[in-house]
Amino acid sequence: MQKNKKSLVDVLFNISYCKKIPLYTLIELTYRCNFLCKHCYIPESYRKKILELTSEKIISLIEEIYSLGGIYLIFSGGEPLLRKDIFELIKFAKKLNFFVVLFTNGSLLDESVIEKLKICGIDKVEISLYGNKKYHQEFVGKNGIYEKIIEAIKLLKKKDINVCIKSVITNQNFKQREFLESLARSIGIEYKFDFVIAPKNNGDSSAIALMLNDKEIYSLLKEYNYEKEKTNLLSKVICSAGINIVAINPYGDVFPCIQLPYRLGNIKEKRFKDIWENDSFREKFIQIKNYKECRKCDLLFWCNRCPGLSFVENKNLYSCSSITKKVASISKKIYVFS
Amino acid sequence: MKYRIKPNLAYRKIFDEIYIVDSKNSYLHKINEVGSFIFEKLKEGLNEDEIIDELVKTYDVEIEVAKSDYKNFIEEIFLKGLIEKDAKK
Ligand code: SF4
Ligand code: SF4
Repeated sequence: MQKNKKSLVDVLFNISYCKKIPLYTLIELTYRCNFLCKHCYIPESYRKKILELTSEKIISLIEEIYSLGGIYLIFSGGEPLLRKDIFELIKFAKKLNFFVVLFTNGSLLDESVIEKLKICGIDKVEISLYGNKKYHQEFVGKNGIYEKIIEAIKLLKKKDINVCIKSVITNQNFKQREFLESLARSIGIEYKFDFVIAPKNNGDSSAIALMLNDKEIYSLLKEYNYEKEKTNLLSKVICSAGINIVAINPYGDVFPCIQLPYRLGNIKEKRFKDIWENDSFREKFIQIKNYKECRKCDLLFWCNRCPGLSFVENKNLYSCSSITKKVASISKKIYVFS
Repeated sequence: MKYRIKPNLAYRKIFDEIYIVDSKNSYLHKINEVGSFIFEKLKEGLNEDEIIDELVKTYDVEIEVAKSDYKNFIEEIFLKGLIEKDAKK
């Protein structure tokens, strides 16, 4: 038996990376949503119920991921609680001993839904919250839901369900961070945030206008003691998308990562296992020679390169994304001046 | 005494070793091959004598060795909160 949490996480990560085990799987159950968040990467025209995977198809997908050794399973959306079979799917995944996480906007979490989640054995609930009542409701495009979400968070905590609040920090809610942090602290739960905004899946980049300005990114990175852990060239350039991470959208398309809409296949046409075991994406992806720009880039050490952002921005996995470049050059400045 | 695996655990066997995630705190634990063997027998609902018997048969060890391996392992995972006493027995 080993104890060290961090090194064990690394051990499991490395084994799954070398053996191509889909350790982390994210399933977008639906693109339907009762909110219209300003930064959402899902275009409105994608939100069609008719093409969604059936319960049976999702259950056999979960079985296949289980047989390949996957352990972390995220049910996301859209709003996953809009699917009537959500409890059945969680229950099934728990029967196969997955660690099951639910990403939700929290607005549909009443007492009976929370009780059902508890009975199904959900492992973690992550709720998106962008600020105080006024800001949050404006950002998600819906009124009259804020108090309900806060009550739901408190009830989840009371029922001993692992719950956290997460946000995307934009140039509009930059000042809401302190409020969100202290709200989470007062309830006794984790708070996490990200500030990178990706263009929509159809290439529409209008949401990028919400991204923090250089000064704001600088102060955020400095405050949170931005770390540069990865040291070798390979791990700086190539992430684990499609190697031990995988994502499936509501219509059955398989992607290396939810941020990387590079279609590997569709489970309505082929078994997931066959799509996953086909190495053609990985073979191209891990060829360091393909990353010509990065290899000679003086920002490489500070860059958290994301092929997803490169792909959505330039339709090229190996290209430089203007978003990552911007963050990398600010990180370099912090390093140089401190 | 009979023990059972706590309901709030996620786990997967990868190359003879079991990785366990505790949903209470998202902590990750790893158990070695013999521990994984005992863990799987607990999951099947076997009691102490039955598990020790299986250990002797599978690993071709003296009963005293099997008993001590079993006891040490159970103590360890009980302290880590991964199993609980089965009230039914
Ligand atoms: S800034 Fe662009 S070119 Fe430089 S390492 Fe990052 S992604 Fe590659
Ligand atoms: S770097 Fe981007 S593509 Fe790679 S795993 Fe992270 S989010 Fe996904």
